[in-house]
Amino acid sequence: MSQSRIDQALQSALQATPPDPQSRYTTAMIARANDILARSRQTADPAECLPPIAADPAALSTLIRARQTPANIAPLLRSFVVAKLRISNPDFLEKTTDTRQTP
Amino acid sequence: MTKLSGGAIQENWHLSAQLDDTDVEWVLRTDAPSTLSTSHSRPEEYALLRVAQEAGVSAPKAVALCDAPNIIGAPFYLMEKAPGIAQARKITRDPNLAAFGPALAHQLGQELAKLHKITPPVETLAFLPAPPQNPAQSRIDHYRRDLDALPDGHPVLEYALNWLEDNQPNAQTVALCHSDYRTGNFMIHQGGLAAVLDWEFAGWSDPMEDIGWICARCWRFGNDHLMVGGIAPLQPFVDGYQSISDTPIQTEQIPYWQVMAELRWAIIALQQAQRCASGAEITLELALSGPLAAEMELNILNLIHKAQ
Repeated sequence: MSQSRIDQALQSALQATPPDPQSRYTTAMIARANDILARSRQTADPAECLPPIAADPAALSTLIRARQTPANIAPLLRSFVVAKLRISNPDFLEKTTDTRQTP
Repeated sequence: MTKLSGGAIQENWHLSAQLDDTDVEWVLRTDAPSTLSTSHSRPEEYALLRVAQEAGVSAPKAVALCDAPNIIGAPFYLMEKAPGIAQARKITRDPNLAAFGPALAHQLGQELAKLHKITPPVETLAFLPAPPQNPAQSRIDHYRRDLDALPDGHPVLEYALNWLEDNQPNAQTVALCHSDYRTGNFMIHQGGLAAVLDWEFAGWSDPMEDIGWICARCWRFGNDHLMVGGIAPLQPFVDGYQSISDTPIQTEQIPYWQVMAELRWAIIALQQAQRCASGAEITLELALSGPLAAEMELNILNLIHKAQ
């Protein structure tokens, strides 16, 4: 994922407004998510944006549930999942690279 | 009497007995120490078995129900033991799979079509939640509540739910669905289907949900090129289904319901891990379920990427 795409995703995320206050996803969570994404933006290496998200996936969940993320958040999510699978199941990851095998 | 393998949510015991000088082979099915809130009680599952049997589905023959909790400590029922094996990895690794797989998939399509001919209302299934007006939205709402009950955030699953909400199929119907129709819940004997097992999640939904479930990658057990449960390609299954049902399979909807399937299995895996983490039921199988969710997450992202 290019840095410009991350920047675009984060800029939109930073403009987030709070979702339904009845939800467990509170204003505080939104603020936390924005803080994490802002810290991710400060790094020059896209891979380094993952640790803050991995440390608090609930924050990113909050933004997504509130539909405050842009449509192109998918590459960031993919990086997050790939990082998890590199640890938990690298064989699955390698096999999945060839998506022609997965109709 | 021996405990059978599998059954993370329910327990199954094999009984060999003599009844009036006749040898019988039965399975006793009862609750595991900790169950999922979405699974039926044993009396409800027994009623579902009876309805499926009456519709001609190859469900195990129901023998007797005991809903008194004081006999063995929990309600249970007995059913005839079907011959064969259900272990998915053995079936999908069978050296003769290429020979029997397509015919088996055809049979699985036929069985599912018989089940999907059952439409609401059915008096003996009055315990089931009312048929949903919009099965897809009903599932989405349900899974959001499930995620809310888990302790951690799951951004990919939230993303999948938004995508499912935004891309719902226009045409949805409702029929009796097995809701866990996949390799591992089929007793296979000599390459053919002996019985469809595990009716604990059955209910009213869109028949395409069952089809998406059996076609999801998470149930192919490594045979990724064999879309139907790691057993065979899609076409024999479709042919079998259409040989029984006049309602065509909406094949263009399969990717949508595959995403729903991957999402659901990811949530179940996380719930199972939570059952272990909470101390309600500490087993290695449950503990290992949690990391599986990342596999389903990657499948979801691939499916959505392809669909866009």
